Amino acid sequence: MDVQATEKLQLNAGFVYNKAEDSWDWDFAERASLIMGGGAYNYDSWVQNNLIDSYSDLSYEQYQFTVGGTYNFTEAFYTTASATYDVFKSDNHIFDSGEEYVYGDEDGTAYYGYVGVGWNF
Amino acid sequence: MGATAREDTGGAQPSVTTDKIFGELAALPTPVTSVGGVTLPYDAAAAYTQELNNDYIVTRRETNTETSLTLPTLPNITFHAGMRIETRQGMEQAIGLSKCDGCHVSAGSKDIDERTEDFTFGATGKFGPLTVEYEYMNRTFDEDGATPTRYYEDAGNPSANDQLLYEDGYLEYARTPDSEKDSHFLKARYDFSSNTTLSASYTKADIESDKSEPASDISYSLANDTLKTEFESFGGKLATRFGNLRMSVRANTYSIDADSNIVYRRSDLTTRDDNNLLSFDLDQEWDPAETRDVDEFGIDAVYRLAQGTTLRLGYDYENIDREDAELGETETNTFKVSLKSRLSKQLSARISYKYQDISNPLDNPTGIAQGMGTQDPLNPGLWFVDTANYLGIDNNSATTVWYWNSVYPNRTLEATNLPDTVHEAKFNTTWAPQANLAATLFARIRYEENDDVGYDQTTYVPGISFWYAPSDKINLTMAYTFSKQDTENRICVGWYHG
Repeated sequence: MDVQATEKLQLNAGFVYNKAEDSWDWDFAERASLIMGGGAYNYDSWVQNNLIDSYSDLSYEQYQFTVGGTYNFTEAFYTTASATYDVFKSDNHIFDSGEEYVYGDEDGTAYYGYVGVGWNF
Repeated sequence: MGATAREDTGGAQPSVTTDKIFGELAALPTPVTSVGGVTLPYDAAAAYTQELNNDYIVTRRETNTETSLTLPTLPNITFHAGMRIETRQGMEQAIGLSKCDGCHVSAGSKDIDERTEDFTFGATGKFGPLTVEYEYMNRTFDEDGATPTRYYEDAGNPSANDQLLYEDGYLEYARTPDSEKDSHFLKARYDFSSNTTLSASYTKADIESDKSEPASDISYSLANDTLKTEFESFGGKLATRFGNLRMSVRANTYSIDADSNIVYRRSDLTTRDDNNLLSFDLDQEWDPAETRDVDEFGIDAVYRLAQGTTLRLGYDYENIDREDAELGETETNTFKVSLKSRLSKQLSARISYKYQDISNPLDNPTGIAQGMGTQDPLNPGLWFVDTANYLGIDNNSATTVWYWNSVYPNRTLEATNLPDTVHEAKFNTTWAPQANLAATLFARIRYEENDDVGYDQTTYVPGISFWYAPSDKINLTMAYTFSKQDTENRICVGWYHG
């Protein structure tokens, strides 16, 4: 949203929401045997590997709030500023009632901003 | 990293460990302090706790300035100058591992104190129908943060005598080199008429970066201290018009040279000196993957079918010829067609389709799946190799073989994750019933595949956006985008140590 609040002041605000989900499947097929030193054996079999039928489906949500503005002191001299608050919420780890087998706490928040000054001549 | 289920469960090498694992093993009622031949000289539990407590935050700052100047005595020429300074400061995580016989993976903090400085100087001159532009850029990148160190256990594998990097002790790792880039850009454009223009461009750039110094107790020195890459390109474009048909033809060729970045290795893998080290007679060259010559050609035609409706056809050709013969030559043919129309005062739309045919997309022709030897009776497409058949030949001893002359050359299937066929369609339409209200609907569908490796991917991205200005002081924009991507690929799992 952009607002020309006064003749010299322009304000803006924004909100972004992201939701991402992922899923995957493996199908194991019969494969060749490994031969070492004259004997033949496999470390595991495709039948054993196909017993794994559930996987961690990753997902996350992200919220981002931004406010900013530009102030024109004169026609040639202006200043601009912006601030953003970012939230990352992962549904992956078991602590968040999410999926098992995913390690670590991936949630976090961040604040960042910038200030600028400009002179047109 | 060579870990295999059989060896790990059997208790033999290699064994993958982390600081967390070592910390937990040391806290057992009967403490375990060595895994896979690795013993750590520091408190692993404390190192792991420190890792979790580290704030990995980097702050980035950028200062930009640009100026243009036209002198009254030279009204045809405008001089430009610019400066950009970017700094990154803070801390990042660096990860390293020891190898043979224990694979100990650990992370530590790395100080970031980077500074990038760009200076540009140039001029644009207009002399009647001829416009000439020149710009010079100098970029320097410096990393002043301390290089992190980590503990590297002695490599326990009997063949590791010449693995000079895996000495017992604290060594530097994850060092970011300093670099400098110089580039010159020259472009000229001649306007024969309002419909016909010819332009040409030339770019030359050199990049140098410092190699890492070897650690002080390592007994070899590098052949030279800088890596250098040179880039040079020539391009031209001709655009003209015949009635309702506008056409443009363009050609571009560039080369990337990195002769000083060649890696030399030895072919004799059996003769050892009195220190049990292999010969330093390096008689084989390994070209860097970046060295290549690229030729591009394109032709575009835009035909006005009716008032407000245009049809565009395009063809692009690209040929990448790499110095490294294993990476090969990639050829891409791209065909494009699009139709754009202003259907009414309030409604406009655009639809486009692109098809790409790519040969040898950076493939590794012998990347996966053992071949030759014996055909597998259960899976006719696969073969297996008995390493015992390679004993005593080609630098192999009577009891051991090398992977690179028994296992790797016998792979038969390509390993690449890049497509050789691409189809992409795009659509968008904008409806603007009033001067202060507009809605846009868009969609993109892309299908790519590579049948040689069993890869295909489909991407759908539809979306909608609204713009509304309730008054001349307020603007509102709302948008929603949905993205879905399905990928199918073959996965090849290594079956052996190493």
